[in-house]
Amino acid sequence: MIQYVIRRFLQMIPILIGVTLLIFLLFTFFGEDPARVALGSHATPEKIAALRAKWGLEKPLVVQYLQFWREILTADFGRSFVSGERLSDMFKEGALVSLSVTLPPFVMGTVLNLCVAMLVAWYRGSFFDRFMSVIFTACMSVSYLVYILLLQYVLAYKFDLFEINGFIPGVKGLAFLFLPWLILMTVQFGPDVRLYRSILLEETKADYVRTARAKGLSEKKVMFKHVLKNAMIPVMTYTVVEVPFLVMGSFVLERYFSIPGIGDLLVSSVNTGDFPVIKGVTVMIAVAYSVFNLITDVLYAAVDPRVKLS
Amino acid sequence: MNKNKNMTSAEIVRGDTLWRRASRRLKASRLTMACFVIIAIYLVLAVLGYTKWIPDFQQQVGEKFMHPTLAKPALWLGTDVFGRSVLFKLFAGARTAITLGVLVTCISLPIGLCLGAVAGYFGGKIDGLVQWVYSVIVAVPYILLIIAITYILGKGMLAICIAMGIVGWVGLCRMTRAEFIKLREREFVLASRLLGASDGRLIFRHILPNVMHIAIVAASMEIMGAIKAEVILTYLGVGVQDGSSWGQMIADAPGELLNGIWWPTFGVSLTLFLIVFALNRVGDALRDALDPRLV
Amino acid sequence: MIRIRRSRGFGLWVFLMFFACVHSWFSACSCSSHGGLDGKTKVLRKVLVSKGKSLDPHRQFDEPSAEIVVLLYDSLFTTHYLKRPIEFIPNLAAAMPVFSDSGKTMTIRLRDDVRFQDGDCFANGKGRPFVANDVVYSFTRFADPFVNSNSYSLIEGLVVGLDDVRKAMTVKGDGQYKYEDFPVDGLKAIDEHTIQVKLTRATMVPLQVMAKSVMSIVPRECIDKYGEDFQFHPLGTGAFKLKYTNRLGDAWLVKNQNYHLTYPTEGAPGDAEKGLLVDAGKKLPLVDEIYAPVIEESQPAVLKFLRGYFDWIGLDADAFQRMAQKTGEGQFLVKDEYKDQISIYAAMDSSSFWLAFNIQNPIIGKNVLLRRAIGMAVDRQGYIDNVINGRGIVLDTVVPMTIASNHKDIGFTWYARNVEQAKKLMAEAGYPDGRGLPEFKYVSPSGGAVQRAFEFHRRTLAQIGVRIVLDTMPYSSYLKKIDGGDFDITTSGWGADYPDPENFTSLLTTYARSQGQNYGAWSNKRYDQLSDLTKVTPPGDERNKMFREMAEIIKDDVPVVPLFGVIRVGVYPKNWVRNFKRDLESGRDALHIDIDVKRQKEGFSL
Repeated sequence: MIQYVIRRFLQMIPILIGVTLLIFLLFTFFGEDPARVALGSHATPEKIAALRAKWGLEKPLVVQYLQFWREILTADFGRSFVSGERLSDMFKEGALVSLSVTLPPFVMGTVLNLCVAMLVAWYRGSFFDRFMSVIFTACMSVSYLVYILLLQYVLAYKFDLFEINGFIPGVKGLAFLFLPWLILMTVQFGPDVRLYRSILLEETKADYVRTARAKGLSEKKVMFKHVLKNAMIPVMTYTVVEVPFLVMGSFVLERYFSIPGIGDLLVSSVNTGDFPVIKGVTVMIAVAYSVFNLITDVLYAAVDPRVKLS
Repeated sequence: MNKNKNMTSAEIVRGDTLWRRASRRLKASRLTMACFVIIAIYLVLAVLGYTKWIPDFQQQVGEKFMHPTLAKPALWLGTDVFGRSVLFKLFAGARTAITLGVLVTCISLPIGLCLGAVAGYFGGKIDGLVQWVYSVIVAVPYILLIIAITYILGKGMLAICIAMGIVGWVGLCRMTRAEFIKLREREFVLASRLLGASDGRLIFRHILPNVMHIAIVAASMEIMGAIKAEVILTYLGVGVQDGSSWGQMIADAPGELLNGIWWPTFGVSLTLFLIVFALNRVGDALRDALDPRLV
Repeated sequence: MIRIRRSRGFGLWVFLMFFACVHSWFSACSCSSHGGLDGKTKVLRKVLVSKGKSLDPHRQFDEPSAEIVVLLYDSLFTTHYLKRPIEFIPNLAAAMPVFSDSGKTMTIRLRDDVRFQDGDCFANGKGRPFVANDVVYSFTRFADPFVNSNSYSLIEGLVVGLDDVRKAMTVKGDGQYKYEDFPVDGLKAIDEHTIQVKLTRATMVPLQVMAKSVMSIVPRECIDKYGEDFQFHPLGTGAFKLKYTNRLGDAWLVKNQNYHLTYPTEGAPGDAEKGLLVDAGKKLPLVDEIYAPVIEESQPAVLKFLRGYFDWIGLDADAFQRMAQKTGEGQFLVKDEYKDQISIYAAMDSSSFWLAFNIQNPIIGKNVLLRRAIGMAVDRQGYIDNVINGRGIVLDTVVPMTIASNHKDIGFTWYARNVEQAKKLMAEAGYPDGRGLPEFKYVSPSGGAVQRAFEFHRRTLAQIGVRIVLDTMPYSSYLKKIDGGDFDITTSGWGADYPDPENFTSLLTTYARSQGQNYGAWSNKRYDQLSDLTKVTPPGDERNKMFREMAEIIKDDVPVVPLFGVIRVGVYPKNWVRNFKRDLESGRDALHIDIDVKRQKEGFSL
């Protein structure tokens, strides 16, 4: 087991190489010119060249790539080209904020959706099941943006049930997060339940279920003890690896609710060619993703005895 | 077979294939058939969108922001800021959306299935390589990759489809791989191997059909996902720009809803709902119908 | 048929617990509180539309940054809050400069009663008095290429010796903060409270630039202490001090108790009647704190404003449509349901927009009749009315109406809109009804109103047979594209760097192309000549004649079609915000605004 874990950690290195090469080549050759963006309408060729030199963008590519690795190993990606903030400061402040927006609804939502899925799988084929299926689909077809607009307007403004917008760090600011949480859970509801339901139903067709029923086990026992446990593998495949991406927050949500997270980092850094941010974010996510992948696989082995970690 | 005419009362048993059984099951539910029809309608609209047979959405049919009325078909969903028919814009958007969905799925589905099968079945170095490829792709945030790829390929429908296809096969690959890992230890595989089946045959004739239901559900989710992703991409300014797109109509929603103009947003949501529902229903039904275990 | 079971099981229990929790959260939330008003402190709450790039005056050159920088720092001069058209007045200077040596030397006497704000960069935390050396230091830093890559070009070539110093600092290779090693010939502190600036030629531009936030005065001690992080620990002589900021760019400012300026004692005609001189002579600022969160989307900002959370928001197109309207006489009014409680302001911006052609495109570039046809067909007033809800004014030259030598001053008009005539010109150009004319690419950065703007132009130009297609992309890609000449038509615009018409007209010179402007690469020798002349001619009839001739050249050759200038509209609560006269030039409204605290806490009854 330990050997497996160590081996997987070592496997992170080729992944990092792949990711860093991909990002580096993509954005060096095809991305925005950060100097031009920073200077905007006041850009002149001399100013652009001077700024690029200042940022070390004129050095030979190999040197820049090695510099990239130095930054990874020292976990110091320097400062954003756009805001001048140190990346570590940005993450420290913003990542926790984004996480406080995305993690609670993720956890609550997963549990809730699993329960609803079990309920619906229980009553499969019934009117309730088919009716709920329509509900799920309806929920899924409404765009994220529309949810934000509608719920903010109706629930926060018209009915004064939530704060319209804003953020205060700490426990005092919890009230500002309720509506974003509700929105995230609503958006997740349809797709998640549908997915869990299909996984659960998939499992109920398996042979061991027939055996269990033939043995005379109650339907409840069949569902909870057998089906649920086997369904956990595919469920885990989805949920556990989502976690590292939660840190990135939600761009649109943070914009509408003025939440100082790092949701905007991704989109704005690509649009402005902000290399330090792009590099820092992708490396951080790549590492986190690999770690969580590993956790998933270890859990596989824990849950399904037939799976051997090879 | 027995051509004895005296056996008219008994059923004549024909060789039943999986597909014939499936189509029988599918035809059984009226709702499912209705959903096939809905999908067909969208497909027809999409194809018509490439010809001149569809009403020109650019034409002004009324005042700006008129409420929906029953007066003319063009006004059934009201008008937008330029007095254009919301309904016609939706028709025009169908072309973009359906093309996108189909193209993206055609690209991502084969890649995901094959790579997942190969990785799950063979394990070892091949598995390692496939895992490396998809880990690298997944590790980079989706939006980043899409935008970056559009920088390379330029804008336009094909570029976006390729971008989403290249990035979108990972989910199916992972699922397929997981299924293959589960199934390769199963008895029927061991039995077939003992009987001398080659790897290729095992993969494609034996295990893959057991995974098809996942692929089909994944396909319907992929199409749906592609259509919805287009909305967000348009919001970010990277979406498709020729003609009308549903994403553009949703991107206009904030300003309109602020002023109480609900019908364009309602129209798009309804349109999305219908196609999503139909795809889901058909996907589920196909999966149930094609499931070899439900004999 | 639903089978009802007795034992609901674990799942349902979780359900119910969850909803119970949520319900208790609902009731615990005191959601209609007005964001922390205690009824005693005067807090001005305004919305920022986006985050500024930097709070270091010498590093920033964008409006969102300037919005806050002008409250934290001071420059030598500023503009009068009430008088229109704008009038420059002293700020850190004690009086307007004395010119000598045929206008090439400025002697500026400085105030002796100004202190920097308290901060831990000073000995025992107390801010020290402002002296002439601070001016020399700050201006030298302004020229430091490692600090300022943006705004130095505003006075490039105008101050003796400063360009050389800037070049020298590049040669050194590192970011320097030892400005004593780089003395500037044209910048001398004569004594503790007087400086002398030597210009390369007689021009008002340096004075105007010295009134901008980019040339604010900064304390060397804080820069020595914080280095590059100074932008995150701003400290100046300004009316407010930064108490708190975050990733989003939200800002919380508190009053500087020892600020040196007072409320103006006179204003424009009609200001006294409007009650704008009630606080004449009072020490500024009038409010105790400013709370300025960043809200980038229209809906949350408007909704919060309507619930009484803000004392001032600007209106974009959609918000405007919801809250206000433009009457037939060109007046901006709030909608009836708001008119008792909400006031509106409309201020003309020193910015101008025009359609630019790519002269390097062989079809467009070689066919002046085609360009004239388009110039005659574009519906400028229609665009203003339909795309920006009337919040604009038609411009006949590229100079905005807020600046001297605009089209009214020089007595110039553009082509009157005439579709028939335009069609004739199209035929003369060789493209009757647009036959034989390829589609043109209209390039634009992506954004909310772009589709609407494009669609409007598309329809108008379709009337004469010109077809355009839209190509949008992120702003930076857009800049790259037009800079590379990869476009046919685009809408270009400019905001005044300083209130001189030459800032706009020089954008179309051949030289401007090398400076990253004039994307269409239009070149006209006579126009270039005139532009150079306007730089050295003082304002007056002779100068206006030159501008007029330049406008005629543009009308004749149509490299661009002037479109409109922007009118900025915003709303504020009528009952508790006083002294508000939107000052777009200096942006220092917040210094002069007063709040009736009791009525502010009551809020709206909408």
